[in-house]
Amino acid sequence: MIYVVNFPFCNFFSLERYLRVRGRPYQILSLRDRLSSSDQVLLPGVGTFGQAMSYLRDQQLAPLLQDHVDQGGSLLGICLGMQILFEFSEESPGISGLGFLAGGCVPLPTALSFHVPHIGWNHLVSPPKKSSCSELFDFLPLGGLSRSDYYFVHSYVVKPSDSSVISACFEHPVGPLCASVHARNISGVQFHPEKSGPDGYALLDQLLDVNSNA
Amino acid sequence: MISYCSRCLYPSTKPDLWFKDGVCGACHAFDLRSNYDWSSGKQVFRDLLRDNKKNPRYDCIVPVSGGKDSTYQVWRVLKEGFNPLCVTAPTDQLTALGRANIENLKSLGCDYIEISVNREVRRKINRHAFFAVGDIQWPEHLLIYTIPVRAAVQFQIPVILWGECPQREYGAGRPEDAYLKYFDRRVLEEYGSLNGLRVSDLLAIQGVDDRDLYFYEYPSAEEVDSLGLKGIYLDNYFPWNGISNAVIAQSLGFRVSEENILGTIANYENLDNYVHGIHDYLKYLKFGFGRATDVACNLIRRNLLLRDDACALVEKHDGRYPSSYLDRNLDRILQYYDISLQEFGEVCDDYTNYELFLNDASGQLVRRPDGSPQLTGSFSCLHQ
Repeated sequence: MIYVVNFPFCNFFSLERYLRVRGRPYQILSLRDRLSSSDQVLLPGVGTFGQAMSYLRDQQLAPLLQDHVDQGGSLLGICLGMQILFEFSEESPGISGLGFLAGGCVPLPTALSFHVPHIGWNHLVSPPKKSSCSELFDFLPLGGLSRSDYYFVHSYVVKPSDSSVISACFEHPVGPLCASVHARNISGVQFHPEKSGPDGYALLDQLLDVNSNA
Repeated sequence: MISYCSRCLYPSTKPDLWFKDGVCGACHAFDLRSNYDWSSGKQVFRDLLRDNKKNPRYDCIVPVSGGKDSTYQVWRVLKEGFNPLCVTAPTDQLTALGRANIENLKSLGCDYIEISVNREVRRKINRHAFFAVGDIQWPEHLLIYTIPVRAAVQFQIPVILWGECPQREYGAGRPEDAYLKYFDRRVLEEYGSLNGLRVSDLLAIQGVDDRDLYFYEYPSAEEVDSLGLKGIYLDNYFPWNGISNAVIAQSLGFRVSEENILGTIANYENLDNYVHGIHDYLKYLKFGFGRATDVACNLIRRNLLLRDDACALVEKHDGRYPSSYLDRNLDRILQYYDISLQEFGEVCDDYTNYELFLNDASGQLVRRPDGSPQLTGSFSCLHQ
């Protein structure tokens, strides 16, 4: 079963629409749920790091997510949902994230040719170190550029302590920055596949299928 | 990379648009609506307004711009025997025609209020949003949602009556949004065109202070909850058609543009803001489609335009360089925000998705005679 964390301010509607259009049964995650390791949890998110963590704390969902991950259950974070997988964010100083992955979030560097917030369609480039999930992205054999574009909206970017968890990047004048992560049973995408049209739907299909087979 | 709905002309690059069997979400939503039984709509609407009456005088808030749709909405509510309080959040740069249509709406037979925000501050926000997220119309996209909610709480009127559900009409959102009755903050957060810029980010603009932003924010959740505020869409209860809305509105004194409007194929909408043309051009540069496509798609779905004919119209009119809008030239429109034509060009280049447009051998954009870039894809690239 797919469980979705229903943050009060988030991209829940678009994600729910994906699940319905694709005919994938799902439930809203609640404290009463007993998750098994074959279940998958989706963490959507739009808003601030602090808002999201305070919701998880108020709903007492953080320990549930921790147990799920410890049991080997799969977890996919989208946008802010990926950022809170990490330990901290400079967006909300002093607030701890879920800490499933080491590292934190920093403001996107501003540059002449790069607007912050980073909004719109962008392609991916292959990560510096190959990760087991990189193959999900259709990188061209030469140049490591993706064939598909995805829709981004964000002002902060994840900086994992262990760069081998990065499964795809987007280009930035300072160098490639993290667009997605994958480690064990945990994955995250900074962009919005649920808002990225046919290619985004295809990617979500793959991410969910890979996780369910893991 | 661009592909199109096989029934209308919506492209795969429209953020949040979903496809099933090669047909886009807006067309699927329209099909669902075609099978509705509308006979009970009127009664459900009446019951809803009666059951939620709190203010002894007013039955609902109708957010109005004076355009064809809001003129129709007010007419419909009055026709059903209710007393609306009309509320306007004025546009960024109100046109003379827009003002005339507001004055016309005020003569329909109901009370009306207009809530204007500090003009100087708004001008700074327009300018900031243009450079930061490529949307010069950002304040309007926020205020049209927040101001009616402020008014609802202020006057203790628990129903806000919106027109059409944009997620349904324009294809984003879930298929079952056809049943979405309640407008809440989350709908704005998710579907409002805020483009990643948040109200709290505005404080970083020099000359913008917290005290200037009252109307840019919703009332507190407690105030909204204690009122029991509901946002409802009129098109859940009555069929919705922009063309018939325009006909009804015109019979009530609403005026359309006598001139063709650059970048679109309709003269009966978006008449109230000089920056519409800039907004729609940026949309073309970012996503490869503009307002002509939106209008054509609405007409195709209603069998008022053939897809083949629409292709020709859209190719000719969509994404035209916005050298003027209605009776005002681009340089004058930009001057209001202290933006030069050169800066405008630079921002356009910055936000252009180069993969959507033709390049020549030297890597330069192939431009049409008016300076706007030429799309690479053709409408025959159907989504499978």
